[in-house]
Amino acid sequence: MNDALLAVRGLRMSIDIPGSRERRDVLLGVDLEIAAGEALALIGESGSGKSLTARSILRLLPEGARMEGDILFRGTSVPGMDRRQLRSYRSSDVSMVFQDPRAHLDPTRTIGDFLVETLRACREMPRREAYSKAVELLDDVRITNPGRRMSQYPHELSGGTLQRVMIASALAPEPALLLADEPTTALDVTVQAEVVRILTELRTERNLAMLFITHDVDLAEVACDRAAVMYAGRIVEKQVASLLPSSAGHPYTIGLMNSRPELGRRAERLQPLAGRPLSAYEAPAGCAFADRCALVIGKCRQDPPPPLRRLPSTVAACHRAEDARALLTPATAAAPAPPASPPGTSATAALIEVRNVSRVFQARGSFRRAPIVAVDDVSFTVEQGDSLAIVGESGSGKTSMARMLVGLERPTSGTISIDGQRRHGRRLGTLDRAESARKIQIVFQDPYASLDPRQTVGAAITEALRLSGATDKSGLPGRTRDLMHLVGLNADLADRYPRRLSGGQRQRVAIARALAPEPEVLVLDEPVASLDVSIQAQILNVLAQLRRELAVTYVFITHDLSVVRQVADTVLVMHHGKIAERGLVTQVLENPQTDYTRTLLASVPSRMPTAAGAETAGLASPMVTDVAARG
Amino acid sequence: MSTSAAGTVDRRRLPRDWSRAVAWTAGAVILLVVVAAVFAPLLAPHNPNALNLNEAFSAPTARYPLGADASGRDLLSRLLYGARPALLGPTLAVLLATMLGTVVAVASAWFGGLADRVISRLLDLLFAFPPLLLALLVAATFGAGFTTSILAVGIAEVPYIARVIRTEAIRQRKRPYIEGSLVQGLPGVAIIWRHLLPNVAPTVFTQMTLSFGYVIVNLAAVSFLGLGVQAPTADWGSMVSEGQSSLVQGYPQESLYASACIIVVVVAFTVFGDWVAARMEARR
Repeated sequence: MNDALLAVRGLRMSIDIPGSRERRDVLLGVDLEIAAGEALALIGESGSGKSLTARSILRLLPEGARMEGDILFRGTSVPGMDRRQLRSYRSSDVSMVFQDPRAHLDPTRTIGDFLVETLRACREMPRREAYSKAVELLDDVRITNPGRRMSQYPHELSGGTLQRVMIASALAPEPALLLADEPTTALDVTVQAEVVRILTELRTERNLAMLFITHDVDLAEVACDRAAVMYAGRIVEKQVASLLPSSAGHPYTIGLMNSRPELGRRAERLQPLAGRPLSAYEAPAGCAFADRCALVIGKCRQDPPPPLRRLPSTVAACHRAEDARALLTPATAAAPAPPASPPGTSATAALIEVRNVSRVFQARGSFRRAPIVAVDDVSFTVEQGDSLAIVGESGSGKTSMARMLVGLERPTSGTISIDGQRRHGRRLGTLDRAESARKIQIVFQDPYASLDPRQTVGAAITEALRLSGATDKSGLPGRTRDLMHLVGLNADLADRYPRRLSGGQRQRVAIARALAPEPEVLVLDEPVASLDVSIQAQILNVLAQLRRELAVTYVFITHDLSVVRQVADTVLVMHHGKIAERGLVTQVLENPQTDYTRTLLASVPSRMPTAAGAETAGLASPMVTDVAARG
Repeated sequence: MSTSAAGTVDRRRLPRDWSRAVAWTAGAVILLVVVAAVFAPLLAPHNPNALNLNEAFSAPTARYPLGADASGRDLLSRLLYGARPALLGPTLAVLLATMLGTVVAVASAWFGGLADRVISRLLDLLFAFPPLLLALLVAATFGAGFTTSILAVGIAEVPYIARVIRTEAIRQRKRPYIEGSLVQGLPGVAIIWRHLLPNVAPTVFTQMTLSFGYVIVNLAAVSFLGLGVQAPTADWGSMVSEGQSSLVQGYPQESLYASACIIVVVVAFTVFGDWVAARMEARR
C-alpha cells in the first residue's frame, strides 16, 4: 500500500516522568493510513493518545518522549527527515489546527499581520501579493467582510471566527493533509456545525486529506469518511464513519455510542461504561478495555492484547467482536413521559420565582465601552419537583442566571424569590446565608476546581454536613458514608485528596457536598460538560436516580440539547440574555417555535448532514483491506 | 532532537541532577551557618569581644586562625557570633513581613472593591520608597538597634510580599471551591482560614524564601550604616563597616570575610528557596 498519503506504522511512544527514572508508555502501537483527500476521524477519550498521535505525525514530541515505529508521508519517513526536510514538510505538506484558537494567536497583532507572515514564511511571496492572498483565504473559510477582518485584533473576533482564521492559515501553504485536534470542542454548537461544514467543503474543493481528532462519535460520523477508535494507546477499531452506529463491533465503540443521551428520546437509564478511561501506562496485561467490558472472558485478560482483525462488518481488536453487537444493544426502555402540564400553570406556589431580572456588567477602565447586558429582563418560575433546563450558547446569560439563583451574584434589577423569601435585599424576609444553604445548592462545571485541593473527600463532605446542622456530631461519619454511597462513591475514597480522583469521581464528591444540607433546589451548571463521554452517562444516571429518591428540584444549565432531553422536564432556551423559548422538553425539542431553537437543534451533530453521504463503499475501503492483510 | 536508529526519534531532556546537587549544597551551607550560629560559644576560640591591642591586625596565626581586627578581636569568633543576628534578624523580619503582607493581601482579595483599591494604593505608596530608605527612616525615627532594624526592614518588605500573595489570593477566591463554600453558608472567616490560606500557602512560602535574600542584604546594609546591631556585638554588616577604615591601611580581612559570609548565605538561601518552591509548584 504505497498510494496512501500518510501511513503510520507501529507507532509507540514513551515519556520520561520528570524527576524520576521512570518512563510511561503513552502509545502502544498505532497503525493508520490516510489516502489523499480522505478524512479520517481519530476518536478517543482523555488519555487515549489521540492528540499525541497527531503531534507525532508532525514530529512535535513532548519533552522527554521516545518514539518508535515509522511515519511515512508520500513514502518518505518522517522520523528519518533531516532538519531541512522536516522544515519543509511542516511548513508546506501538513498543517495543524488546535482546539483553542485564541491560544495560538498573538493578541497584539492583527489577523492580517498573522496571515501575511504565515504566507510569506511558507510561500515566499511579496507582501502585497500575500495580502491579497490572505483576503482570499479568509473568503475561502467563509469569513464575511474579509478586508475589514485583516485589520482586526484577535480580541475583537469571536471564537468561531478565530478558528476559521486558524483554518485559513493552515490552508496557506496548500497542504495535502490537515491535522485537526478537537477543532470545534471549544465552540458553540451552531458555530461547530458551521466550522464542520466549511471543513467539509474545503476538503472537497482542494482534495485535502484530514485527520480529525474528536471525542464525539456523532461528530466523527458527519465530518469524516472513516473512523479509527483509540483506547489506551492503541487503535481498537476501524470503521467507515457512517457505519459506526450500525456496524461497530468493538465493545468500547458500542459502549461509547450507547452512553450518549439521545436527542430524540429519553432513556430510562443511560448505559454508561463502567469505570473510567485508562491511559496506556495504566493498561493491564491483555486487553486494556477488559475491566470495563461487559463481554469480558478469560482469554481477554490472559492473552496479549488482541490485534486488529478483519470481520465481515468491521475491523476490530477484540476477541468478542463477532457477538458484541448482538449482546450490547442500547437501552430500549424509554422513560415514562414527563408530566404533561405546561410549566407555570400548576396551582402550587412556585419554589423559585424570578421576576424581571437583569444583570448588567459595567465594563471597567473604559468610558466608551458599552455595558454588557448578560441577562435582560428574564422572568420564570420553577415548581417543587420540577426539572428545568436552561439551555443556551456562550454569552446567552445562562451561567449568570445560575450564579444569581444561588446568590453568588446580585441582579442589577428585578427580584429572585426562593420559597417565598427574597434572595437579595436588606429587608426582613430576605434569605440569610444559612437558610439559603438549606434551600439551594450548586454544582459547578469544572470538577477539578470545585473541590479544595487540600481537603480530603471525607472532610469536604463532613464540613458541608456540619454546616447544615442537620446531623449531630456523632452522626457525621455515618452521614458522610451515606452521602458517598448515594452518589455511587466507594467509602474508602474518603481519605483521598481530590488530585487522586478522576473527573467523574470529583464531580460525584461535588454533588454529595451540594446535597449535604438537603437542599430543595440543586443548580447544576454544566455538570457533565468537562467529563469524558463514558463518564457523562454515569453522572447523568446518578442525577436521575437522586431526583427520584430525594425529590430534589433541578435547575440544569447546559449547552447540550441531548442532555436536556435526558434530565429535564421543562426547558428555557436563552439567547443574548433573553428567553427565546420555553416549554415542555418534548414540545420544544420536537416542535420548536422560534428560529433560534430550530438552528440550535439543526446544529446537533446527530442531526447534521453527513460528509460522506452516499460514500458507503463499505469495507472495500483501501485501509481496511490493508490492515486486514497485515493482520 | 536527534535521530538515533532509523524510525526512532528521541527527545530527551537535559540532565536534571545538577540542579538538585546545587540545591543540596546550598542546603548544606545553610545548615552549616545555623550550626555555627547555635554553637558559636562552643566553636569560637575566643570571646568575640575580648580586646587585645597587641594583636591588632594580626595575620592568621595558630591563635587567630583568620587574624584579628583593629582592636585585636578574633575575626573567626566574631564571624561565628555574627551568624546569630545574620540568621535571627532576617528570620524575624521575614516572618513579620509575611504576616502583615498576608493579612493585607488576603483582606484585599477577599473584600475586593473599595477595600482592594485603597490597600493597593497604600502598597503602591510603600513601593515608591526604596526599601532601604524606608528602613533608614524607621530606624532614624525610633532609634537604632537590632529590634528597630528588624521592624524597619520587615515593614519595607511588606509590599513585595503582599503584591504577589494578593494576586494568588484573588485567583483562588474566584475558583469554584471557594464559591461553593460560600453557597454552603460557610462564614467568610472560616473560608479564609480553612480553604483560602492553605491554598495560597505555597505562594506565601515561595515569596518568603525569595524575600529572605533581600532582607539579609537590607539588614546588613542597615547595620553597615550603624543603625542596626550596636557595637560591640558581632554582626556581619557592622563588621563590613568597621573593617572599612582598615581597608586603606592594607588590612582587608575584616570587610572581606564579613562580605563573603553575607554573599554565601544570600546565595545559599536564594538557590535553596528556588528549588523548594519549584518542587512545591510541581507537586500541585
